Amino acid sequence: MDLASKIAILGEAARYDASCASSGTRREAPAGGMGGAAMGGICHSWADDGRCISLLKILLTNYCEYDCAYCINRRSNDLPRAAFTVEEVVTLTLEFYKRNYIEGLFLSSGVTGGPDATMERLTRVAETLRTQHRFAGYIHLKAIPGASPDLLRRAGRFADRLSVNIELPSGASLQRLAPDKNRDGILQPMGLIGRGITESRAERRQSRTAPRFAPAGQSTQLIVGASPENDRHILHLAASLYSHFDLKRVYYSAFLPAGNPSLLPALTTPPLRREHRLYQADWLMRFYGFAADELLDDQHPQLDETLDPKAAWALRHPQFFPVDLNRAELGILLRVPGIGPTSARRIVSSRRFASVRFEDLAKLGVVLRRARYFIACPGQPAEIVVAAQSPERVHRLLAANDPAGNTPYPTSVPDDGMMVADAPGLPVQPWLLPPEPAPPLPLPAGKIPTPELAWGAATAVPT
Amino acid sequence: MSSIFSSSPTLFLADGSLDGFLCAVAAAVEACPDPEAGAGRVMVAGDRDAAPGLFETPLRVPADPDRATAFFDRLRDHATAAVARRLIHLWSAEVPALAEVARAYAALAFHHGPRVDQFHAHPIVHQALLASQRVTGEIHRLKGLLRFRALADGSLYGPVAPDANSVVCLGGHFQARLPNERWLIHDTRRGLAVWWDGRCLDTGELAAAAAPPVTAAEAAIQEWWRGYYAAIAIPERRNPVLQRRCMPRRYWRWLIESPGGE
Ligand code: SF4
Repeated sequence: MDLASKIAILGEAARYDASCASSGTRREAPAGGMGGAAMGGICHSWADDGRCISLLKILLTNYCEYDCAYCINRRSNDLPRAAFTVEEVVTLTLEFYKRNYIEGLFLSSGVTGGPDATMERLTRVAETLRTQHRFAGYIHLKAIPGASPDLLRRAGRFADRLSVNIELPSGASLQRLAPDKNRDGILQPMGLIGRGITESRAERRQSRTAPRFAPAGQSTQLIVGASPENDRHILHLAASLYSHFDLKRVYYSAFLPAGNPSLLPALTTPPLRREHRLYQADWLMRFYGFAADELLDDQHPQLDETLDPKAAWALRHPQFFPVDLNRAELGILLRVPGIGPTSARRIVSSRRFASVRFEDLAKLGVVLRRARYFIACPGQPAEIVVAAQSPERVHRLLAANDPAGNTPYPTSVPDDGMMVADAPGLPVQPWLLPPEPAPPLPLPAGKIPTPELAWGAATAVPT
Repeated sequence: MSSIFSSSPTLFLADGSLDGFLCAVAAAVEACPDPEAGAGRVMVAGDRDAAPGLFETPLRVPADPDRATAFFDRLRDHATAAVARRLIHLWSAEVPALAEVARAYAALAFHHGPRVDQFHAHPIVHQALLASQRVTGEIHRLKGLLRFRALADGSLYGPVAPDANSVVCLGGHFQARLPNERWLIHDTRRGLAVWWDGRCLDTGELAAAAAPPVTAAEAAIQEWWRGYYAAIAIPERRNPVLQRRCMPRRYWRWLIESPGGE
């Protein structure tokens, strides 16, 4: 088979992985080498589905011994198969990188010859690039569930990021849909990678020459809509993953009708809006100081698809509003719909010069369409204050103005970075704003509880 | 400088160069340091849509590299390097009205020092930040969207047509990434280029010419990339609106891949 055909097959086989981030490391080309990595990541193109292409995201092979029902590469699926050699992937990466098509490589693989043999081949690609070719571009390797700790440690030395995909949001669904995998096979590598990252960070604080281990962290992916778990369950799982494994990112991937039809729901369109709302909720947990419990509870187990989750939270908590923009501290400002980390910080710095007035807000990056009903400041038109007293009306107005609510395919996969002016539906483009550290998170009431890891064989599947 | 003492405001005319721009801003700020008073305005000569007002006295400010550098350093020391760099962005945006924004912003920066950028609600600070963000945003975008073609002699040719005159800012980035290659980045809109011969980085004028011929080996690699690009999109998620919002059409011309299957 020629290389062009392999690229077509193995590129297509890799496209269901949502991650394409190239951020989180800074690296420079060593003498005689090539490449580098930028802290904020760089997008090199956008595919026809609107997703950013930063890395050459490809499988080493789509032959697979496993039979995960949700995956197009499962052994029982009849489709063309191909396999690259290690050298072929190395050549492709270098040639593409040199022409500035890509920021680096994201390599995954179907399982052939068992987890260790598969992991060894993935690692060999990264090792060849780093040692023989002195390649300093970004490398993301998939950790194969069940691979031995030694191999993972070796992989972490060459890769910027490692990821193990959980895919199914509960142990019960895993058992049913991915019978060849098990809970420990997934959690053990995540734990090992998490420890490796923490230890290497500590060592490098002592000595700059200590070896790096997956410096851009680890991430994982959850499929949404292939199994019956609700949003509340999914957000709790995400929160527990962030706190247990020090994850950089959880990706959410709308289930596509590509899986085994006898085991999976018959969806006509992928649940893209639901995926989008989950990303927004995830952002609220990481950058806005919201706890999973605050966003969803027993009465509201599912995110409102017509409204962004922050606006939905605000409408359920009228006692919190209006927020006085000239007095409220940063953590409180962050709770206002239409105010993001950047605009909140601008409000705080701007009011040192003069009190913030309604007509200044657009200049500060506040999305007035949404914020207007939740704030108090001088110059505010009286009719808005009246409207704010009627939550149903505000709900309707907000839903009608929600960018994601009005398009059939609202979704985008946000790259690592800040949400721009709190705008839902916008892909996060780090270049729009200078990178800023996550704000401190003073919570208005209570504190974020450390969640139990809400994922395991014993977890009941909610129906 | 007689005009400053007369009652009519001065129009400080800059030539199109960066040095000329900085010198005109420097002259205007030195003549009238009060940001709000506006005893003069700055204009880049040759802008068709800007003409001296009826009561303005035009004053041509010569481009003087030493004066430009001294002014830049003074602003940096008074405020911050980021503030000083913003003037360069305002110049490279090539938007006539931004010359006057640069004057008022520089005056404000001398007045408020490093805190000037915190005053987001001020119309001048707002415009300056916005314009400079647009320029740096495009530079960041081009770091991704630039495509090199390997020529027969092994060197790399990367044509671009940016909105802002910012191609020089790409040099350092690619020098760090491709130190062992020889490459040239060509602003085909302005006829400017920045290149690296493996030892030093240089800039100069380069007339727009037909794209150099592509060798058979290069064509094969481009075909691999096009194949990959087509394979990676999920058809069920097709989203041309989002695609164009992230990557406006005007940047497609020099890509290798074909967005939207075009
Ligand atoms: S192990 Fe499962 S998810 Fe991975 S490629 Fe094989 S079938 Fe797909």
